[in-house]
Amino acid sequence: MSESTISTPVSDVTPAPGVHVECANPTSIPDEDVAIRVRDLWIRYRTVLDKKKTLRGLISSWATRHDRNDDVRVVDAVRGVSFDVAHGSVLGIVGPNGAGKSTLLRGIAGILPPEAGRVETDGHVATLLALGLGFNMKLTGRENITLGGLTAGLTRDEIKDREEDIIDFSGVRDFIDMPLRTYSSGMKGRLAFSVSTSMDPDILLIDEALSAGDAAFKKRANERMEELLGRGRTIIVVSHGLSSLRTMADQAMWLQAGRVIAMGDPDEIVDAYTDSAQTTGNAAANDD
Amino acid sequence: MPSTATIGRGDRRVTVHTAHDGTLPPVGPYIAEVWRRRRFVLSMAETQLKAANYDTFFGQLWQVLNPLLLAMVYYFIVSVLSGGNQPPGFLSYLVGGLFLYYYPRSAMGAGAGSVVGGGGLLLNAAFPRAILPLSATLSAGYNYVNTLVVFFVIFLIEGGSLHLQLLWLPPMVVLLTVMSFGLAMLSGVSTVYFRDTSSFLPYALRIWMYVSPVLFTYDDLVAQIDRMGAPAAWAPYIAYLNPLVPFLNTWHKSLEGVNPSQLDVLGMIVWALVMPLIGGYFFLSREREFAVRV
Repeated sequence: MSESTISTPVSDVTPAPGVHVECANPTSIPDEDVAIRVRDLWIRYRTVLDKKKTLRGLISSWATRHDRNDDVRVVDAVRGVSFDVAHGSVLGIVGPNGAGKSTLLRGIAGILPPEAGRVETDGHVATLLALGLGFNMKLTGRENITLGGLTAGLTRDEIKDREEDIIDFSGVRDFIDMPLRTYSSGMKGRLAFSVSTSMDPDILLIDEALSAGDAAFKKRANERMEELLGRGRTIIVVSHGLSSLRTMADQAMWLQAGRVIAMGDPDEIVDAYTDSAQTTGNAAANDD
Repeated sequence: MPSTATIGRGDRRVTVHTAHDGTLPPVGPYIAEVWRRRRFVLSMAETQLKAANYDTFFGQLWQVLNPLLLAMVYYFIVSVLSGGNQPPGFLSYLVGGLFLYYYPRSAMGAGAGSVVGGGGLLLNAAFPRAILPLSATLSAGYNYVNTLVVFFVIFLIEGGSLHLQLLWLPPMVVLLTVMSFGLAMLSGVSTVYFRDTSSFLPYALRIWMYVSPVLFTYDDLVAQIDRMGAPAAWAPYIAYLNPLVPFLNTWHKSLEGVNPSQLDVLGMIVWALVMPLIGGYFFLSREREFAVRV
């Protein structure tokens, strides 16, 4: 991994909009080792969770001769982020709610289009994002395994081969033929984790997933991730479980207001982030 | 440059995502990717069918019961309006036409919600988004084939006989599927940008039925266009501006043992080309934006 220094001042948490801050940027990784390369990535949401464009809104904006773009709320969730992740390493991302962590993962997975900049990924990407793979609550656990696998691009045979292993690992065998709406959130989280880590991804993007399971499952989940890393897989994990980041990650990134505040050694980054959260009181940086 | 591409780095294939420039993704690789995920498409369609009436007593039977009960309602209305003077075989004429009309109708209805309702899936996985309206279309198609079985039971009970011309049915259904997919993409993409689409749609679709030869015959339709002042020679052609007309004509004629006219066949082919081209253009050129808009 690259040098473990914090190269951007910690106090500079909210740079002025439009100002481009050059961030810690471990470009020392040779091209052939790069699993994920992100360069000056910007991701912009439009009117998301905001007023939907309806006929009434359209008519009233015409009637009052407002520029129709007035209604479009634009949120730059990721602002000029650059970094590299080497094959077989773990990058942990910390930051307060709304820092753009999940958006960044979706940008890397190709789900959200960049507004500017570029993302390069070498290999098959699997995601384990907050919404649980788009599970269908009316279908059984078993049907959701199939659907999740097909969503990830697996064939039916490949899914059948893995099904037993997925069920065993998730520990929800007694409920596997019941609709997902009967599951607890922990059970859904465990099933989602089992499905996405069984896709044999080259790159695994995990968003807060480990908060779902109990202590025993967390231990098994960590073992599963170790196993993936042992096979040269690459992981980016977004976590509020800061102590697990310290042990698991090779490198950590502190993201805030869509920008990289600092990047480097996990211990140093987590310490700096925790200190900042305590002094400003703006983040729930609870160490588990 | 398209917003997502694959480049070579040494012996590796690296996926690159860059800013969306509002142009079409390369259509060939796109279709190949949809084909590669065909099991996913079918599984999605199956899911929609299962989830649709999952907690009702009749369950899956509603897929057939719904249009059948509607046919009964329309049969009743038309009988009352016409004073009970129905030509023989009118019930199967009505049921057959109504079932056919319901195919593109439910594809458009389900297509309208397919993207907006695909929230979790849209935010959690990268796949060609046209899979959403495609699976909506296929589940509507599955329903249509089921209702056809019910139709033929009614048809035979009413004394209809099966002719060789029914061989027109499979190509007609295929073309109708392709056209419906185009319409489903169109309603799907419209709903993303204009949420009221899904509220307006049922009314627009109902009007579509009233201007199609479902409750009345093609000759009635042409006569009506004539009465509205169109030059008599043009009236039959004006009717074909309604995409349903060539399909309904082919269907009704083949049941009577008559081959569809060249205009019918041409009309079906043209509409089955035009709708996916229009729908596909709007859908594909915007689909990269869907995740930030739903």
